[in-house]
Amino acid sequence: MLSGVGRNDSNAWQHFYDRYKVLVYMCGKRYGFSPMDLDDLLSRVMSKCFTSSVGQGGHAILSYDRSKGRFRDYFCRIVSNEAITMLREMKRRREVPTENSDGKEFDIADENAEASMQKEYRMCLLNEAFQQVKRELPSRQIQAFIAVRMDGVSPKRISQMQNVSLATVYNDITAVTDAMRKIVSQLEEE
Amino acid sequence: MCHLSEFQIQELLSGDCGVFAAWMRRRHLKKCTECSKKADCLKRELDEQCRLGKELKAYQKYSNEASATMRLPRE
Repeated sequence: MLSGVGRNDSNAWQHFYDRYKVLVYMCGKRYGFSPMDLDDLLSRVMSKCFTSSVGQGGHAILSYDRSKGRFRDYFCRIVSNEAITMLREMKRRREVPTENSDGKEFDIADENAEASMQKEYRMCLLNEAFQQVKRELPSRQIQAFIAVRMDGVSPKRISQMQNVSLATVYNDITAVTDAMRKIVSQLEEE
Repeated sequence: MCHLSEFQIQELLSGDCGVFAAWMRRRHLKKCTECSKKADCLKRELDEQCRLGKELKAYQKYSNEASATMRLPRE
């Protein structure tokens, strides 16, 4: 995907945007940004990634050096830096938010920010794995997983609805989970 | 002693078996180390599945909110 982005491939661009948009959103929410500021944060992050960076002679994406660490850490740093820069600019204009979307106060120099960002990144990977699993596994298995583990429907009810045994429902859910775990570990190695 | 099957333990952990069957199985688990270990393992798997489900649900919520508020940056 990153090499595709480097070649200005529009599909790779879209893939990159879809994968990271929500991560930027979650980070912005954590810092208490309004919808307008979230939009601004996304624009700034994407601009940072895709426009020439001074002194490096290319995209931030292209100047990413795999040997220096994982892309996720590199990208998370870009997002955090842009969010903090925006907060500082707001502070100068005395518009800085002091509470996040949950109504909790936050500190710019939050020691847990890095851990929160990693957790949010894992959620993005998990979603990507789930989308892939949805394409690969039978819809019955996916339905069982969504209904039981995401919507809290009892496995017994699903077995009646799908007209399969309860053991099949348990096995279907396990199959979906195993497939997701496998894809997440592959994505994490990328 | 007749051991519990994986399905029987899963049924117990999910609360899908009847009250009497659940009582019998819990009684067995207290006495049988082998089945108890198997149940611990399945409980961890169940918790992991629930965690993944919750995270996906949370992600969907964020994703819907993000789609409603964020647009593609203009080139």
